[in-house]
Amino acid sequence: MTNKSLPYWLIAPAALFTVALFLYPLSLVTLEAFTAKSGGYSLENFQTMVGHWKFGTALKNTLLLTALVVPLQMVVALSLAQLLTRVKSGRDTLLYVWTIPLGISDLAAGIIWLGIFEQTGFLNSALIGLGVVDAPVSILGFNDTFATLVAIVLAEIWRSTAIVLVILVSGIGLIPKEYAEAAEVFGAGAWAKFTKVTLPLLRPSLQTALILRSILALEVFAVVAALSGTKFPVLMGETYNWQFALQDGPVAAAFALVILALSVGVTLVYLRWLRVPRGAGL
Amino acid sequence: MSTQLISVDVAQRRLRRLLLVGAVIATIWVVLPIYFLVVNAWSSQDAVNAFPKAFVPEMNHESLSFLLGFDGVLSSLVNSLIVAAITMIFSIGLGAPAGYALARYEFRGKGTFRLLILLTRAFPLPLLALPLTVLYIRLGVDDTLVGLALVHTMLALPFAVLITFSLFSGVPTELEEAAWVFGCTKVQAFRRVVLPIALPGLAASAIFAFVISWNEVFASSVLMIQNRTLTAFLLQNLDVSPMHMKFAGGALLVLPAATFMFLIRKHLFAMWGISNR
Amino acid sequence: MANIAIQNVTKSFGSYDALKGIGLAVADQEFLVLLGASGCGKSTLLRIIAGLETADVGEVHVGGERIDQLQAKDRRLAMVFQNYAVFPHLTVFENIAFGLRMQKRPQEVVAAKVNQVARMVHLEALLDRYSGQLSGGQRQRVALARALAVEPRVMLMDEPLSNLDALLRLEMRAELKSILAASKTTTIYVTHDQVEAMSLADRIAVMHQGVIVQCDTPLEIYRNPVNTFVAGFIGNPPMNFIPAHAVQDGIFEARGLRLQGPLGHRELLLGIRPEDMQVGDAGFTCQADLIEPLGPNVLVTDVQDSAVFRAALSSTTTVSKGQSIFLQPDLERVRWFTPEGQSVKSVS
Repeated sequence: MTNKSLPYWLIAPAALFTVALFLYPLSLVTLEAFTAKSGGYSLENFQTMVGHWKFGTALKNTLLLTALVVPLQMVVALSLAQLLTRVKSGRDTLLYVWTIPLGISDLAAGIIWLGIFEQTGFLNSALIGLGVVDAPVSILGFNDTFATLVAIVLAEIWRSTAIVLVILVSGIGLIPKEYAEAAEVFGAGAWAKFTKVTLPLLRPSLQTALILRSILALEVFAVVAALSGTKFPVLMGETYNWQFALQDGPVAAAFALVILALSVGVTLVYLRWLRVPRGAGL
Repeated sequence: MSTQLISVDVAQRRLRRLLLVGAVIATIWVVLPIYFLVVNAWSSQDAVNAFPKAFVPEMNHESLSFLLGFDGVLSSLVNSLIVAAITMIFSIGLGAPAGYALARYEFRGKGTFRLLILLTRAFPLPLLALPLTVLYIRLGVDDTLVGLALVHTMLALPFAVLITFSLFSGVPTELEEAAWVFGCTKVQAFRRVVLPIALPGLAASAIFAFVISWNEVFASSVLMIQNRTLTAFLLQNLDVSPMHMKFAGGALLVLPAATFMFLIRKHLFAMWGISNR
Repeated sequence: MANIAIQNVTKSFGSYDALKGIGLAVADQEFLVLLGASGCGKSTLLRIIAGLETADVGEVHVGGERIDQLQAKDRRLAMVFQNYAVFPHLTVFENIAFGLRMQKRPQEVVAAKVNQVARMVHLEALLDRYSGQLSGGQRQRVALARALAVEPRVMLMDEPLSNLDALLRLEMRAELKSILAASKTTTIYVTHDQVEAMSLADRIAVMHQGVIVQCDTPLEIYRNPVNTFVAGFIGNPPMNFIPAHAVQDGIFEARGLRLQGPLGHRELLLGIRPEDMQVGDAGFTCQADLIEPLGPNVLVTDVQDSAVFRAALSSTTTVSKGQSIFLQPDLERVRWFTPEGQSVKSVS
C-alpha cells in the first residue's frame, strides 16, 4: 500500500457499498418499473399506476403537502434562527430544546399529533374546556379532508423544522458579523439587514435546506399513516401499499420512480434558482 | 416627512420583548406535544379513551406494561436495538475512513466520490428497500436484521462520511506531521494524535447513525415480516391497535432516541455547524 | 460643521474596563488618529462613536447634535472596517451604492455618485465585479468608496491598512491622505502603527489601557512626549531612557556624561532618541556589542546593563564590534522624566 494508493483504499469500502446498496438497487428498481409482467419492457406498470383511482389523489396530496410545508417551515426556521442570533444568554438551551424533534421518528411524531387531533384528543379537550365548542370537532374523520390536511401540515412542520433550523443556524454562523455592522452603519434597519445582507449570504444554506426538505417532503409516509390511515393518500403510502398489501412489486417500482423523478426535478430547480455567481460567495 | 427616530434604549427594549415572546411560544410549541404523549403513555387505558382528557398524567404504567407484554413487542424492541447497533458500527466503519481520506488527501476521483455521496442525498433512499426485497430473497438474507441494517447503513453513510470529513478537517495536519517527524508510523500517529481529538465527534456521529436506524419506518416495514423492528411493528398495527397501545409505543420510540440526541447535543451542533455542505 | 465632542465616555465588558472617562474634541475637518497597542480601547471608542457599541457612561456629540442615543443606522456616519466588510454578494457598484440605496436616493443620483467616487479611487473599470474577484487592495478601495459615497459628516476608519502588505500599505497611505484631504471630511482613524499615525494625522491621541495619554500634533508628540510610555511608543527604534543622578542640584551624570538638567530632583530618567546622537570624543559611554547596518543608518546596541542602549548612526560611521565609543547627544533633544515616567520641564 503506497502513499499514493492509500486514499483509494480508504474510500473503497464506502464507495463499493454505495454502488452495491444505492446505484445497484436504483438500477434494479428502474428496470423493474419498466418490466412487464409477462417479460419484456413496457409501460404497463405506469399505466396500471396512473389508472388506479388513488394515484391522482396521492400525487395531488403529496405535491400539496410539499408546497405548503416547505415554504412555511422555511419561514419559521428563518425567524427562529434570526431570533437566536439576538439572544444573549440561553441561546444554547433554546437550540437544544428546539432541536429535540430531530431525534423523533416520523411515526412517533404522527402518533404524538394523533393524540392531539383525534376525536377524544387534547385539542378537543381544550376546546370543550374553554367553551369554544359544545361537542368534539372531527378533524381526522373520513370527510374532513381539509382539516386532515391542516393536521398533517402542522405535524410535519413540528417534526421536521428542526433540521432546517440547524442548517440555517450554522449557515448564519458562517457569516462574519462585520457585514451586518457595515450595513447598520450605512443606514440599514433590522429588516433591510435581513433582506439585503443575511438572506443573500444564506443562499447556500437555503439551497441545502430546501433540497433536503423538499425531497423528504415528497417521501412523507408515517406521519400521514398515523394520522389518517389510508384516508389521505400520498405517493409513499401508495408505494408501500402496492408493495406490501397488494404484493405488486413492479407497480410499486413505478411509484418509486415517480417520487424519484419529482425529487430530482425539484433538486435541479433549486440548484439553478439558488446558485451563487462566481466570486460572489462568502 | 421625517418620522421620529427611535433611541437605542427603546429599540433594545422592544427587541427584548419580541425575543421573549417568540422564544416562549416556540418552546411551548416544541415541548407541549411531547408532554401530551407522556401524559397518554403514562395513563391507564380508560384515561386514554376518556373525554375530555386530563392534562396531567396519572403516572399509571398500565399502557406501557400492556404494550411490553403484547406478543412480539419485546422482540421487536430487541430487533430495533440490534439493527441500530449494527448500523452504527457499519456506518462508522465505512464512513470514517472515507471521511479521513477526503479530509487529508487530494486524489483523482475525489470529486467524483464526493458527487456520489452528495447524489445519494437527492434520492429518497428508503425506496431502495423495494428492489432489495427480491434481491435479499435471492441471496437468502431476506427478513434478517443484517439485511435491514445494510439498508439503514446506506441511509446513514452519507452523513457519516460528511460528518467525519469535517471532523478530521478540524484536526490540524501539523499535529500528525509532528508525530511522523518524531517517529510514529501513519497508523500510530492516527491512533495517538487524531483519534483522541476526533473521538467525541466520532462517538456522536455513531449515535446519530443509531438514532437514524432506530427511527426508520419505511424500509423496516417493507423488508421485515417475522423479525420486525419496533417501528415496523407499530406501523403495521396502526389499524388494529388500541389508542393506549399506540401512545405507549410512541413513547417507547421517542424516549430513547430523544435521550440519546440530548446526550450528544454539543457534538451534534459542532457536527452540523461545519458539515453544512 | 462636523466637529466631534466626546465627554466622559466609559465602557466596561464585565469586569474589564475598556474605556475610562474618555474626553476628546475633534475640530471640523480635522484628521485625528487614535494610536495605541491592541487592547488600549481605541477600536472600542471608534465603535461607540459609530453606534456599534453603547457606552455605559458619557456622551458623544457630532456637529452639536447628541448622537449617542441614536441607533447606528440613524447617525449618518461612514466607516471603513479593518477587514473591509465588502458585501460578497453584491457587485462593486452595488457595494459603493449601498449607503445611498439605504437613503432611498433615486437611481440617477446613485449612478452619478458611484461613478464619481469610483473614479476617485480608480475603480471605474471594476464596477461589475464581485469582491471574490478582487485583490485585498481593491477591496479596501471599495470599502473606502462606499464610505465616501454617502458624504458623511464624519469618516471612521478602523485600521484600514493593517491587512495590506508593506508596499501596498505605503502606496495606499499616500492615496488615502490625498483623497481624504480633498473630501474635507472630519476623520477619526484608528491604528497601532505609529508611522501611519505620524504620516496621516493632524493630531494624534495616544491611548493606553483605556485612557488618552496625550493628544497633540505628531511633531509635538515626537518632540515633547508627556511620559515615558508615549516617548517609547513613538519612534522606532524607541527612545533610550538612561538613569541619571544629580551630582549637584541641576547637574546630572548619566552614562559617564555630565550635563545640565532640571532643578530640584535627585534621580531622573534621561530620554534621548537613538537618532539624536553622534559619535564624538566625549559623550555617553557605549560599547558596540551589536552592530546592524540597516541601509540608511547603522544601529549600534549596547547590551551591558539591564537597560538596552541604542544609537542610530549615519551609514558612513565605522564602528567595529566590541569597540567602546562616546556618543554626543543633541542637547536640544534631551528629555527628562521622573523615575515614575512623567516628563519634567528642563530649565535651560
